[in-house]
Amino acid sequence: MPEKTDLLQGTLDLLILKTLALGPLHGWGIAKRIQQLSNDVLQANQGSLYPALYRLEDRGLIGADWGVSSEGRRAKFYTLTEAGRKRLAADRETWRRFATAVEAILAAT
Amino acid sequence: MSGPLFEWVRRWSRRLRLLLDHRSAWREMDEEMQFHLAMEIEELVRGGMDPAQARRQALIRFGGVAQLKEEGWDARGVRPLQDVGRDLRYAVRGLRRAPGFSLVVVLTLALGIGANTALFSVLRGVLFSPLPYPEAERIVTLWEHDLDYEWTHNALTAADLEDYRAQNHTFEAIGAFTGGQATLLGAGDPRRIGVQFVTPEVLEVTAVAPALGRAFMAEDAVPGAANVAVLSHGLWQRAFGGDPAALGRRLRLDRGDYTIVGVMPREYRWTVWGEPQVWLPLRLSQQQRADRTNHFILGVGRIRSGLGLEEASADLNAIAVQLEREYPEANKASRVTVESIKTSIVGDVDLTLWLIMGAAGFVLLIACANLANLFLSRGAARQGEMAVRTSLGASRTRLVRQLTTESMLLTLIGGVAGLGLARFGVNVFLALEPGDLPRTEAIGVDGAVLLFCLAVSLVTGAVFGLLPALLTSGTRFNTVLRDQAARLSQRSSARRVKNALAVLQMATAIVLLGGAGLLVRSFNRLQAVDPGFRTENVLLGDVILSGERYSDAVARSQFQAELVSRLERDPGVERAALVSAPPFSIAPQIWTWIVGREPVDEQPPTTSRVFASPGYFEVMGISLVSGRLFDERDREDAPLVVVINQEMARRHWPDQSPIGERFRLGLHDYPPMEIVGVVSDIRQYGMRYGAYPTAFMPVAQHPQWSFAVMLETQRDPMAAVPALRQAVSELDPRLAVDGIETLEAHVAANVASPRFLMFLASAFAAVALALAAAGIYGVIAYGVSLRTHEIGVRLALGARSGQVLRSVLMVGLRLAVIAVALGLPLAFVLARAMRGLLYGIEPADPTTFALISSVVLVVALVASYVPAARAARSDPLAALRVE
Repeated sequence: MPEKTDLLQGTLDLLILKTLALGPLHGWGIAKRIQQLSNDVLQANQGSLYPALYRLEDRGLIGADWGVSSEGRRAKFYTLTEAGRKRLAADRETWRRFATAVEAILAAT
Repeated sequence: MSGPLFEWVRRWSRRLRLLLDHRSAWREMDEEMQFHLAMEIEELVRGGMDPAQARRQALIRFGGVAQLKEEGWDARGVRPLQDVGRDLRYAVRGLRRAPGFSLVVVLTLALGIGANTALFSVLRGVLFSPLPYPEAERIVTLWEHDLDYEWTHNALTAADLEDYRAQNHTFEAIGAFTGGQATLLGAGDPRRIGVQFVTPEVLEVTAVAPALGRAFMAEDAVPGAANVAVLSHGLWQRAFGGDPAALGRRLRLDRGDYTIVGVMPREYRWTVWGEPQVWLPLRLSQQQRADRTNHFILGVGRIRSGLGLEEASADLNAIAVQLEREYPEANKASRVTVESIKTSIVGDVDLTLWLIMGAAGFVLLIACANLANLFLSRGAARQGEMAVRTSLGASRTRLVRQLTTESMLLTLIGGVAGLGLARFGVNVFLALEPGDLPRTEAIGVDGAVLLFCLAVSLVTGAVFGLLPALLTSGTRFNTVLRDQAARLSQRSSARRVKNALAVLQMATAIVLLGGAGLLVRSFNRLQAVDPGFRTENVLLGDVILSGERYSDAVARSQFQAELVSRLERDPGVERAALVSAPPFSIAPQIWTWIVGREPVDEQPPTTSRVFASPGYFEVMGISLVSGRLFDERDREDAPLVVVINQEMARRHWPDQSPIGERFRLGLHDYPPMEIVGVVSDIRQYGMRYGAYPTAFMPVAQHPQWSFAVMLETQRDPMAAVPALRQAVSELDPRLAVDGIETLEAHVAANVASPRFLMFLASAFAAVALALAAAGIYGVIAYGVSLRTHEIGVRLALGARSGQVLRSVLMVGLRLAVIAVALGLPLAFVLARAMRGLLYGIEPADPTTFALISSVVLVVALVASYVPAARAARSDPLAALRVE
């Protein structure tokens, strides 16, 4: 198992929005999806995942509905709202610029 | 709805929904996390772990569910809402625990906020609410301004007004109007009503369409056109029962019959130069249009859109300068006053209204200071609680918020109660108000008043709540529990604030007392004035001889003589008299030339001209000083005689007897008259104004169209009213008697305004003083409670109780002296602003200010005495045990 890295402050929101852009998911599913997509490098732990979900819901970036999971259990599914989609595009751009800038500094000799 | 606002509203409504159904929200969170755990366990089991082991592992990985839910709840942003709810519940509990305290606070606030809201609604209605004409700010009234005599509000001549109308570049329309009265016939007893003659442009200027029928048209103004009338809504209701069929019917006036063509809307009121109940077309004769000396009409105009009063005034005055060049004699020094219609209607009540509003504001300020003090004392008692909560992690903001929630809750309750009081207060105000307030119909509690009430409540709550909250919440745990010195310094900083508040209260009370004191003393002076005539058992009523037949002087003369003799035959009437200007009404002041003296170069002296019947002097109790009064000899064909008052004799014949001297009044109006008598002075123009040189001429020699009837009775003068009405109607059934009142009421009405103002100011000042006394009592009592220990030590060491008493009293006295020093200059400023309302007293009246300063000092001493005496009596041992 590769070493796990804690998420940078603020990036969790971006990752949640991105995973939800692919389709509705419940909390556990979001955590798993982040883990999978990052090849097990990134770990969204519950302690920060759920507050982040409620915060995003409060801001109207994601919506929530109760449904039935593939295992037949009642689960709360989150979906991306229109406002969330816009925010994702904007945050993605910010992240790219940020990452490029950090990389440029680290690459300097 | 705009994006961010919409989003904000949606978010808060979401939060509110969540909060209202927080049980299911928590249940859902729980369920969601249980689901997460179940999935985790399943995954571990799938990976080959034993279920029990997997469960433990999952729980460890997940962390504390309860804490996670709390964090999740925080993230949903509903905490602030919840806090408010909790603070409110807490505040309600706290207030219910101290019902007396809460009641005092709410009542104080209700009175303060109520008084301010009531006066605001009066101010708003009278001064600020728009007039019922579209774009009323463009409507102005036009008057002649005579530069030589500095008369700014003279009537205009029709010729000048016509030139202004034709030559201006700044007005959309200019109309002309004159005021008058007519007797309404054919609707019960003949009744006098206000009439206004207007050109068709007047209704165009006000731009209000009739509610019914039509306004005047150009054809109506042509001399010889059919007689038409437009009714006010009020007259339409009273005389025609609001029947739409009144259009086309006849309106019978003493001056002729008119066909009703229109009815104006209810809100259309026109109160410049009297308040008309019917409008008639103003028809100017050829002669009137050409005459530049006959000043009898006013102008009203609508300024072109985009232009202001200055431009309009400059434009018309340029024309006036041109006219003066063309007609140097008639138009000498003649200019135009252009005044906004609002100023014309509202007049000069604004100073009085602002003064009363200011007084109410000051009272509220004092009430706020009192409440801040109350809350500070309560806060001191809760310092322990605050310190414990701080040490348990409550932030200072949180505590301040909790404490202000309490004061806000109280003010809002006080505000609601105040609003109720305000509605009541407005009615009381209007009932007491002596009738010189214009536009009372616009006064009411509307949206703006509600907003004002809310704003005042919130500001009040913030003012008296925030300060104590900030001071109380700053307490540190350790300071309270351990460090007594620090605790004392904390308390003494609260005491300094309390002292400052008490000084502020007393200083404000001094300002109010100063204003009220001046008004009281000035009113007393006014009351003490001897008007020079007797007021008891005299009835007054006005008669106007209208109708064709009275253009004959003999008919008027006969009517007058017959009326007096009929009335005097009535057993209830002792004496009857006629006079052109009863006391406290305007008698015209006419240029005077004394026969045998060189005409003076500058302005000749003026004399008040009064026409009276022989009985007048006796009815009024005016005494004869020398010569004789009028009698049977003074008929139309006899030589013209005049009786003058002492003031005139003093002014023109200081060292000789005026009897037998002759003088002329006006340019050509009257031939010389011989002085036959001198009578004592009366105040003709009102209590405020001293005697003026006056000439009395017999009505028999100068038969009048319009006069007051004065009846001297043995008992209640009002009992003579039927006799008066009957005598007039027997002589001419088309005549009305108007303005019936006793002379006593007539005189009282003359001082009604200063009396009303004095009453209000005294009431506010008394409340202010009472509040300030309560305030200083509270502060001294608090100071004594802090010094319990010290006083105990001093008493134990042998200090006499008198010394303790004195030292506490000195604290109160010192505060009062500072307050007097701060308040007096402010009071002087106020006094100067109200100079115009004072009579017989200077604004900086030393007696008044010395008196109110000592009142404040004495009140402060008395208020301090109670806690001081308690301190002096205290048992040293008990005092020492307190700490």
